[in-house]
Amino acid sequence: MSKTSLEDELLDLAALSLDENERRRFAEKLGRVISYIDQLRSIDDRLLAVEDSSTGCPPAKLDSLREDEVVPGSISEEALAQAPWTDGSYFLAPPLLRSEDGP
Amino acid sequence: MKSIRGEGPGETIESLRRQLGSGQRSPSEIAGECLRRAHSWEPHLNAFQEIVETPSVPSGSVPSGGDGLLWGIPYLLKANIAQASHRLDCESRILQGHLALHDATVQARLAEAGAICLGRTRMDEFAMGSSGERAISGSTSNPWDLDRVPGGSSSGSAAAVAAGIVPFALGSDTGGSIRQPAAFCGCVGLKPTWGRVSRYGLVAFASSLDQIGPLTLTVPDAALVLSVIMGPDPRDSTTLRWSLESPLEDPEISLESLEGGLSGTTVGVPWALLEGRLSGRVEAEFNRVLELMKAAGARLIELKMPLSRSALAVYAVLANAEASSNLARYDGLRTGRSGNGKDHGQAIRRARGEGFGEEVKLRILLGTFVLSEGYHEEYYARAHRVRVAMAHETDEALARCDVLAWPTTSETAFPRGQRLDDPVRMYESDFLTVQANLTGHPAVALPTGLSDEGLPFSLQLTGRRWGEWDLLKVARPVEKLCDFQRHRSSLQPPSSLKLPEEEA
Repeated sequence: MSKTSLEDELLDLAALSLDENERRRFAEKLGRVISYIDQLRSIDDRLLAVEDSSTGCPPAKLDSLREDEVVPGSISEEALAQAPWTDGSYFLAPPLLRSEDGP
Repeated sequence: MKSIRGEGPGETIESLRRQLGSGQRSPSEIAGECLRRAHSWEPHLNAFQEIVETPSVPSGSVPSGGDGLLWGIPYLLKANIAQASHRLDCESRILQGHLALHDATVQARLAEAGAICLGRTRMDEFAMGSSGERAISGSTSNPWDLDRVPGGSSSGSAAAVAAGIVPFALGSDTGGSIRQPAAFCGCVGLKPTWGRVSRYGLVAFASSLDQIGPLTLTVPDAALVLSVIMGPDPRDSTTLRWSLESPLEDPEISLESLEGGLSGTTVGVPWALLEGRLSGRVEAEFNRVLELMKAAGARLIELKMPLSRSALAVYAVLANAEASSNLARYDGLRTGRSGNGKDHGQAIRRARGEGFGEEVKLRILLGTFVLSEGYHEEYYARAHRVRVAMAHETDEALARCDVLAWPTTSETAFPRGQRLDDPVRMYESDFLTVQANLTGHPAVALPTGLSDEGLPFSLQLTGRRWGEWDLLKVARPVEKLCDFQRHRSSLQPPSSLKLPEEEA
């Protein structure tokens, strides 16, 4: 995968549909940002010799989590009311394998 | 010039509390005056996503003790903080029309404390931006100069507080989104320690960096708001770290304790980090403030923080990697904008392609790229290693001094429209703020003076983790030395109806 071309694989992973103009524009912008972050390679490795456990840097490990309890929820109707397609009880999604328009 | 009722711009929470306590003014009077100011400013600022015209106002009198800290005090919420049944679209087409199903923990705590919510403020889409120009409902202006940006992404919150519309607003800060707009607009912005304030109900951008905090006119006001919104919440496990890591700290706030001086305070300045990166004006102001602090008894020491120079590159990798993952949930199938397609994948790709704005798509692509096979080690894993070492470096620096000091931004507010096509230059606005997010330390931005162009300068102080009170104890005397409050009376809504130019 070339770093500055937006190949289908990256768009698939990002789940984004872009037109040709956008692909060109984003390839150029992405190239500029990647050139910038490439400075991470030049950091002296000796400066990085720190054990994870010696810092409180987020995201830190957490030893205590709350109990995973099922509690009643009462917002399913409100949530469903905001969806484009439902059957009254569930969200509807287009089929995974069908070459017709959405539900 | 329109006359605004009340005590003029810049009423602090402290002053309103005194008036509410003595019965001199009632919550509904204060809320009404804030609403009038909101309507005077809004045609010029474009800071609001929603103004609540008939707010819920507490009745009775001020409860005693800690329960009454924000009773009767008006505030605003950034548009990415959930408030049940109110719009929660994060200024993105993909969530257009979405209404929150519940209150964020911070909103529930403010409501319970009797504070009065007067509306929701504009922001850059999904909190990604440094200029307030990336909102679907239009861009926000800087109250000090309407042709300049207010900073971002908590643009509306900063502009509204700076303009004196309300005494405080909440923002969120992933890489400087509270502090950078606070700096550009001349208000106090506090990013608490990661884990101090619950993010339940905050729409996630980058979860290892996101933190909610206050924008206020003064340091004591920031302390008051923090003391109400902070604390463990079973719905955000990061807040449970607090009691584990800082079990002895007294959560009770005492405003008197902030009123000490700078004598005996050691301030660390990493000059090498700043070299060649500050505008001449900002550097001169920073030196002026350091001299004031020295004259007041602070001891300055020079620090070497070589890794911190790479903070922005580390941030660009990690924040966007997390964003690409957090934003994967938006598929147009459950709320907001739906996409048509012949199958499931195409419908989702179309909904996202049409629903996300330019900057958000760029960041999703970047985040996906640095996490993808073949690049993960080179970018994501390496950035994480640098982050951990940078946190260690910052802890070592803070073992030698009480606070770190540097300017919040390398320049003052820039003109609108100037950086929209140059992502790296836009990201550089956050060059001095991303550090505290990466390392989890609390940091506060406070206004120190006005430039010859009439734009605010800001100093940033970074403290030890869980050490907000100690940080604010240094920030408060600096605030008094600089006396920025005296500049606020010059800030009134323009008398002419000169509207900001429409976005292209």
